[in-house]
Amino acid sequence: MLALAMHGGWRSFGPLIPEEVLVKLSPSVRPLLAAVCLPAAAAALAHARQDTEKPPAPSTARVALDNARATVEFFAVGWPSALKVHGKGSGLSGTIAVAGSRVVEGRVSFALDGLATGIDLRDRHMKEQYLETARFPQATFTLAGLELSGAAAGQAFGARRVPFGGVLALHGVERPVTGEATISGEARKVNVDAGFQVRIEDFGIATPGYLGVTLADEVKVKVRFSAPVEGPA
Amino acid sequence: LRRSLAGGTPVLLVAVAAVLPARLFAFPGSVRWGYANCTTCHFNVAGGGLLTPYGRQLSRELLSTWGSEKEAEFAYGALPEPAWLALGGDISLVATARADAEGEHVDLVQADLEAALTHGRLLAVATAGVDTGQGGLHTGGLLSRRHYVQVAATSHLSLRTGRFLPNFGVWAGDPFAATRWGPRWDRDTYNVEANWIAPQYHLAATAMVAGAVPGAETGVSLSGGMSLGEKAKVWLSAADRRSDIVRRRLLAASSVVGIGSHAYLLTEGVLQDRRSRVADGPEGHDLFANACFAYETVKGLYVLLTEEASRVAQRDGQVRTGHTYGPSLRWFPRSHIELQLRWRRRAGEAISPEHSEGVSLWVHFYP
Repeated sequence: MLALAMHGGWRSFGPLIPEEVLVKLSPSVRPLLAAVCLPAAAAALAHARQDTEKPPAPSTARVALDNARATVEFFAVGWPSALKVHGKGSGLSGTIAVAGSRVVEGRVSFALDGLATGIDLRDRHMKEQYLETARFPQATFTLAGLELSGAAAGQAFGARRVPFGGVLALHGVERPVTGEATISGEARKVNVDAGFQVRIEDFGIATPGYLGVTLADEVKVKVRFSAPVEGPA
Repeated sequence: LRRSLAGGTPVLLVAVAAVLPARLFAFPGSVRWGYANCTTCHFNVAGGGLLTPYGRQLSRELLSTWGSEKEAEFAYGALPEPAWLALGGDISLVATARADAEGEHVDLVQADLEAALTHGRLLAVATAGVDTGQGGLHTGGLLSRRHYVQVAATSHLSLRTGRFLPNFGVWAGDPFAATRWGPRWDRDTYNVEANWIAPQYHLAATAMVAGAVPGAETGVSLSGGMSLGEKAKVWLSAADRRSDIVRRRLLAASSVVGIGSHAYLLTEGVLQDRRSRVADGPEGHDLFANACFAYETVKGLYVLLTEEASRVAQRDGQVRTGHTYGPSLRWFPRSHIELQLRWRRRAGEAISPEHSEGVSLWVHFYP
């Protein structure tokens, strides 16, 4: 580089000095300039190399949910008799991207028509009058962040409870949701048992009621899945 | 009220009729569907009797083999009810053929109308019907077996006072079951009762302040129930009751367990410490137990296997044992109609007159 500068290769300093300034300099000044600028140029180049050669971001693994064994359950209480309503469905779609021990992106969808409470009439009311599944067939959760506390997806690790947050889109309304998940890992597989609570009123869903029995506004949701991990471990 | 099947001549058989207690038809097998508390389907927090509007629709949806939504309403929807009023009733007949001296006969067991009025947190329930001979008051006139007022103090706590069967263990709808008949937990009393109901458990505390019939016992009882999982519930109950001639202390354990979506098992055991309050009266420790396994073959048609046992201390230190068992069919063909065909085999002494050896056909209409 020094030889280049001393022998007229000064244009290589273009990134440091504007071209129009360089061409106006007399040839006698150019070696001096080269000597002065060299340390700065070397530092700049070194810095530039650092930018491109810093340790790469941990490679991203992908948890694919489309073929995962998954269940979605909800638990609600009806009054005045403390009636327990338990709905259950299966199957999720979407992916979760994990870089090292950190979830960097996740979007999980569930088809609400798959929910069943064990009583056909109740299921019909739930889907037609409250969830309106014909208009809003999916519930989608977009994960804002989750840290696996040092564990890496795709590797075996013991169960750990971690908090998570995100945005739930339900009934055409998006609301932030927080919860807690128990996550364990096996080779190329991750097991998740996540729970959170929603107020259905927040999602524009009328309080379900039928012939004197009214459900409480708070509904607990549990999502469980075992899904394969693709990509780097 | 009793007609001989053979001769067709009306005869009053007071010996049996005098002890026919009020029936409160109930269906604890609903625990299979997650209905662990009776009051979802019945106005009576202890179960049985008039169905709530929700209970009517649930009965049609889950119990009846056939039926439409409208059909489940009172009088098949012919008489619309205002929101504050619910009407219904129980009309029940039994045709019996027994191997003992009772022979063949038809009994009108119950003919009651029942009304429930709600106003805010207040509930008033009353029945009016034919006195078929409960508790020795065989007047043939009108009788209100059940009447009480209830207030919902909070969403969990309700208080009621009036005439009703106290909330004690699981009510299976049969006052002749060993665990009811044996400790005489089949007689109406005037009570004050508090019920605390939560999703996982309930507690009932009752003070039986006066008997509704002569000789009835008064006292206190406490009953707690807890849901186990989604299809099972267990109860632990205790009571201390007394009359002029006897004092009973009871400890009972009960359970109803849903087995899959088609079967359930109901069990109950009662340990009784019985002390005489008159000279030379019988006393000792008694044990009553019953178990009933039910399997739903097609929607609304149940096959039941029932077994009951008792061990009762006698005055002379002897022990009298009873053992009755047999299968039954229970069918809910349409809304408002229930049929039961029972066959009972007796080994040892019968625990109650209804559980003597023989066949009986029950017809229950609940408009």
